[in-house]
Amino acid sequence: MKDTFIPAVAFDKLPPEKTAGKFPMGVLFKKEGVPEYCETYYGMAERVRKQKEGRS
Amino acid sequence: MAFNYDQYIRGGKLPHIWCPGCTYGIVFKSLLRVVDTLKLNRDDIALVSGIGCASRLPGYVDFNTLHTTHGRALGFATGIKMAKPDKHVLVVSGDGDATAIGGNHFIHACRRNIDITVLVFNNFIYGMTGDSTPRRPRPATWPPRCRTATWTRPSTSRNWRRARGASFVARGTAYHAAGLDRLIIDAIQHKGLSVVEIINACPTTHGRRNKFKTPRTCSYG
Repeated sequence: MKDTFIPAVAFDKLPPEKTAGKFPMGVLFKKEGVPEYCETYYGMAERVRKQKEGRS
Repeated sequence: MAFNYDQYIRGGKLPHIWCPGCTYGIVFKSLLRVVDTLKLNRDDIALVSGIGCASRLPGYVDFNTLHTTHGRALGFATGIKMAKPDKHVLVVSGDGDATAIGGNHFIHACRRNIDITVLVFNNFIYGMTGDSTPRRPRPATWPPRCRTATWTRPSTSRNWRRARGASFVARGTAYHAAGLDRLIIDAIQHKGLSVVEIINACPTTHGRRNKFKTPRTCSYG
């Protein structure tokens, strides 16, 4: 088990022959600042509502 | 003082259905510790699941819970998050439920980056629904003719994020419980879709049918 799971940071530095059949463990990927769906949706709904109010 | 798990458990629902040697209980306790650490109000949590061994978890906890249809947990969870964006929406799902039967919902949840935390319990098998081939790769120590290992190209956490655009992907194991707490905390605090794959052991179905000698070899080699 100890040899099968390797911390992701160490895993990325190993050559492919040493990572065959092994798995990285920990945070594999993280990206901040990607638009979140609900915020985008409710933001859009608010914009549309204001546009409609402006027309009437 | 020992952590008091009882405060979060629906005692009337016990005993649980998990087999002896199954590691889901470890993850279950990890989730309860995380909720306590983050001081989340149980009324502000919606815990959603599909079908399978992992998906029985919401029945045992005293949160807002929803046990849905096979592979559709993320669809229901998306609806809850849209209606109640202030709630913490968590999904617990098996590897087959999340990435095979529920693959379509999974793809679109990742693409939308909706603020849901998905805990994928990976035991390398459809344990409850009967020994079907999963979509996950096998550890190198498993025998080449392993009955329950996929022979097609596997689906891995890394290609989930490459292909599907999830903004947080992590992997932990039930055998590294302290580290798992930290990963789940990071996932819940992340704004957007967060996926934590948790490697588990299924000695009863997976281990027995493949003649693995110990629970540990079922998943860890």
